[in-house]
Amino acid sequence: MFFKLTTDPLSLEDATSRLDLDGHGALVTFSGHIRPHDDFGHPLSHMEYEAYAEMVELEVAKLAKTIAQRWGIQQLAVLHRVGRVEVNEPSVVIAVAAGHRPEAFDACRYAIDELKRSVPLWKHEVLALHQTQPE
Amino acid sequence: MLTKARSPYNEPMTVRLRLFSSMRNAVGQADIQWQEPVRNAQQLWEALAQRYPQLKPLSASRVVAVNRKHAPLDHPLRAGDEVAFFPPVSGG
Repeated sequence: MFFKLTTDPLSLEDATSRLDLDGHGALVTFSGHIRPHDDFGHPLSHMEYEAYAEMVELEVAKLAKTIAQRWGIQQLAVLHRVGRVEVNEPSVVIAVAAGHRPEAFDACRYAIDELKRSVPLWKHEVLALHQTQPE
Repeated sequence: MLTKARSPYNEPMTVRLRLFSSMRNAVGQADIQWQEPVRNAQQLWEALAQRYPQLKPLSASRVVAVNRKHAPLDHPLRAGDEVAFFPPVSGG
C-alpha cells in the first residue's frame, strides 16, 4: 500500500505509478475533483483541506488492511491533498490493481467510501465571496 | 501521622488536546496541554466547553479520538494521552 498527503497537485499517474501491475488483470482508479459550486449553487473560489495527519496515516493503514483481508489485494495507492485545492483539480486519487475486475472495483469503491467515512480530513469551502464554510 | 487519601483527582494530569476544523476555529487554538484532572473524554469536553462556551453548539456533531483512534466519549483518560475533538470528517 502506498499513501501520501501532499500539497502538490495530483494525477492518476501518480497513483498508478506506485503499483506493481505485473500479473494483475485489472486496474481501477478513482479521482475526486473540486466542483465549481457549493451545494447551494454559490461559486467556489477554491477548497482548503485540513488533516489530522498522524491519525490519517493510521486510518488509511486500517482500510488497506481490510482490503487485503477481504479481497486479497495488496496493490493499493491513496494520495490526498491538503491545503489549497483549486476548482476542477483532484483532491484525492486512488488506484487498485487486482487479478480480476470485480474485486478491483469493489476494493476501490470501499477505499473512497471508507476514506470519506472515517479518515480525519476536512474540506472547507472558500466561496468566491471570500466566506469560509466549514463542513 | 495522617496520610491523605489519594484519588485520581489528587494527581497532576496532563493530556494533549488536539482540535480540528470547526472545533479549532471555535477555541482559537489547535494544540493545548490540558492540566486539569479529567476522568474521560466526556469530562474533558465539558470542561473545555465551560471554558469556551462557543463550543457548546458543536456538541451534537463532535467526534472523539484518543491516541489517534476513534473512541467513545466515556473512554477513560490517562496522563500523557492525546485526545482530539473534531466534526464529522469530510475528506475526498
